[in-house]
Amino acid sequence: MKLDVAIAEVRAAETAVAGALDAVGARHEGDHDVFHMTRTLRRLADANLEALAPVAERYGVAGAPDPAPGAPDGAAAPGLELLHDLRRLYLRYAQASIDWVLLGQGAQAAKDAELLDVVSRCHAQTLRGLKWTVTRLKEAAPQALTS
Amino acid sequence: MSVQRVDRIANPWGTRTPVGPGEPWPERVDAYLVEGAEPERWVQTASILHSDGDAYDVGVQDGRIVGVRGRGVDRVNRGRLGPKDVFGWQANASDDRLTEPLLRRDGELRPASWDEAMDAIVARSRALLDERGPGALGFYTSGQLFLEDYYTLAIIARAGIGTNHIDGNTRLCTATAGEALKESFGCDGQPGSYEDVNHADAIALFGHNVAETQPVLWARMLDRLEGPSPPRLLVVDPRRTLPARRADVHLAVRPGTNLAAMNALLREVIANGWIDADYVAAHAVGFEELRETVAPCTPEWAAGICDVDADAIRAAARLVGTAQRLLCTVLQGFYQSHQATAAACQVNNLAIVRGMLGRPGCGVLQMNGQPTAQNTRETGANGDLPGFRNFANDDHVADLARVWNVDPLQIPHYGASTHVMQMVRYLEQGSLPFFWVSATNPLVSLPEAGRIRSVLASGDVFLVVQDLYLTETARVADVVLPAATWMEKTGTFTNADRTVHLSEKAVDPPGQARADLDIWLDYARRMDFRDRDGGPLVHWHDPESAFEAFKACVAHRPCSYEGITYARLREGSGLQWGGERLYADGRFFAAPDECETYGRDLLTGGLLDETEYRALNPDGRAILKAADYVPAPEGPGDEHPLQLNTGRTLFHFHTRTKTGRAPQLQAAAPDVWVELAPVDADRLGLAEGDLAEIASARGRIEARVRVGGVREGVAFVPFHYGWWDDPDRPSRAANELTITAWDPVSKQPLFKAGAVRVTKVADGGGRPAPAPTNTASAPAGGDVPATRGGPDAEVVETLP
Repeated sequence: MKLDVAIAEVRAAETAVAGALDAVGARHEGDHDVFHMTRTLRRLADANLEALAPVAERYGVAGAPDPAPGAPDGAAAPGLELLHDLRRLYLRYAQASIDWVLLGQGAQAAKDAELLDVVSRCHAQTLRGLKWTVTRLKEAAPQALTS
Repeated sequence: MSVQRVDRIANPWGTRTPVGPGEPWPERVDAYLVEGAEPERWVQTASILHSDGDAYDVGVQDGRIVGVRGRGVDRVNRGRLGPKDVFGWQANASDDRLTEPLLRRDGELRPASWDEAMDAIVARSRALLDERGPGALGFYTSGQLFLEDYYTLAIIARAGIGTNHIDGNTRLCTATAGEALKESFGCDGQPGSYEDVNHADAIALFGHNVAETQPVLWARMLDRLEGPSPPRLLVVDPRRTLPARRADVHLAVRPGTNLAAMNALLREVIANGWIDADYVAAHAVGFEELRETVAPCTPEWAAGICDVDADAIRAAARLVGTAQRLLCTVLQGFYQSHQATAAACQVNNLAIVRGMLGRPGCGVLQMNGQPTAQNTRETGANGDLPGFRNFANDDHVADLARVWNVDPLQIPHYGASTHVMQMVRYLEQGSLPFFWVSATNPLVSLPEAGRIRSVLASGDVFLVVQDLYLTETARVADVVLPAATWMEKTGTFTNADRTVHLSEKAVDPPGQARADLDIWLDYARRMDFRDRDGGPLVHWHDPESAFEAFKACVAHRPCSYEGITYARLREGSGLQWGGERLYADGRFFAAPDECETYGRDLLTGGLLDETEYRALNPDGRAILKAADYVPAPEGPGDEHPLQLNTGRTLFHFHTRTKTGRAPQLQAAAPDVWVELAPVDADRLGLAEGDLAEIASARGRIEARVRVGGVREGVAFVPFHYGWWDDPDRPSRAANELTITAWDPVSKQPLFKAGAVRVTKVADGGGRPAPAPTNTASAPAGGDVPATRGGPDAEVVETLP
């Protein structure tokens, strides 16, 4: 049984999402909707981590790292900077999303209904963050790339 | 028949004509003429200072407007007029109208010819198009121009320039209405009708202070409330508005918590089995998700968040849950608040789960704030493509390109149009150096006024302002174009219940002022915009040909104007597009090939794609969308312990450009005030009339205190007051205080959010606040003289 590995992966990925949200929020206060939405999405990421905690304990996964805001590299023109940072956030979300998929597969195989329930509820929230990030990237790209 | 004179500042809603359920609303024709006037002719029009669409005629004598008279035949008002209808027209003849174009030279705005002004605009447009492309140009229009104006601007921006940067100030008033309808019914389009007031046995007003925003609609409701078998009334509003005083249940929820209250109402309706399960099964999708989302939202849970009594929430749920004919209306209390679209969608959900759609008395009115807001939505001047087309549906875009005879790639459709707050960001960042503002005053009306000033007055933006007066915004423009106004030009506009009215030219505009349509036709000509075959892109030349071009564009679309012509509007009066009610047969414009949007996540605004929509709603049913409540972005804290709520008063419109120039309206509400609950005023050592400072993290203003009917913990400030008529005084604009934040779905700014601190500056010395006493700002007690208009405010009412 290696579900503990999958749980640790998901938790690391969600922690990275939380850190990326903090970083994007801190760097883009002037893009007010982005700033406010990173706060809302951070609540969802925190809720996911909270939901994971009991199953992590049950599978003997050690304590999770603190979400450290990643130091984004490369400053560019204002619009491009937002594209750059949201793209990083997208990748964090994508990582977390596929990790939820894998954990969900494992949970089904292990016939662990409680874990499966956590996965389906949490994965929906990760996908919601992913969807917002794609939407905002698509919104920002035309002006950033043609101005 | 009886005739009487009524002071319509003191009694803005006029004399009652009580009516029972299902009975037609009696005529009551209101008329007002200046002393001694004898009009030579009467010219047809409708309200331009609110969204009700009251129809009336304007009396003309010696080339001047001398009075107004309601149109008794019209379905909307049956002859009645509100105070802004009666008195607002006087602003047209104000001696400070703009009469010639102005061009900034050597730092000063100086008179210029039309050729010089238009050449300057065209030269800048061309240079930017060549050097930086269409994304360098943005257009920000109004909710007060005509359909013909908007449609012409939409084709110029979207196909002529080819920019996605076009929005209306309707973003501030009606964006959530349109978005909520799109999310719930797949497409914009007002489901209900004002006639539903006459049939309903329960009316629920959600954040809708109808007594002040649409006084004639409130008169209709009052006539039901005072007639036999009156409807029950629910009001959700943090202020003790006049409707709240008449309500059976009033939920004075804490600002920013509407969604929590709505989720609890829906939970109770579902838990008590007050749903029409057959209707839901046949006509809706998403019920399970809704049920699961609201299941934990008990009245006790919501009571803690909203700070209202749990039993009051139960009573409210019973009122809407047991009604046989339920009419729900929604306005700014929801639209300009946190989680705006999500909350407005829950009102739609209430109507859907109760099967209260498409029958007499059963309707939803997602109201508009401004008189012609509906037309920005229909013509594509506010962020949507013309004719409720879906930017993400290639067939819709191809169809629009066919109508306009342009390459589909010329029409930006890679995303929703850029909303105004995002345009401000691009202005701030320098990627949008050209900004053309028509008939609106963003320096006073956009949130966080200090930021807007620094962006628009920076000198980095080429700012064109097209207006009637030298507004606060016009003062910082590079080019000012003098525009003709309502009654000086012809066109149509559509009210909140889809009633189309014709407004005819009655008098000439002052000086060289020109109709907005003519200004844009001139721009299109000078820019030489061409279609795919080399013909002129804008091929119409006057209001009626513009109207017919628009009709061709929306033919076969849900908002088809088929059968509505200038001739028919002239012969009769207002005509509804779409018939009395939409969705009478439980059919919606929601099929995947037909819908205006594939939808957004209500919590984040994340867009669904076509595949997801097809899976969700293959048969084009109504969509029950749900969302969890999350706290608002800026709650009260130690430093700023009160919640800010900005809003309007009955006697003014927007930034008072017109109503501040109408003596009776100006006198009724001459200056800004701040409204506090008695308990908060006591705590702060403030009494009626004291001068107070209101400060947020963003700015400060001073205002006199009205101790009134707003709920505890909230400071209400009216947003109408800028500095055009008092330039030496520090700004008193409510938007000095507001937060830059908007709803993630509709992008409507949160004007009813943020935290403030109120402190005493000076004693009032017994002088009351300059706030009306006969509206939501009524004093809580004490000896405050009642608002009166006097002999100059007397209207002749002709009753049956």
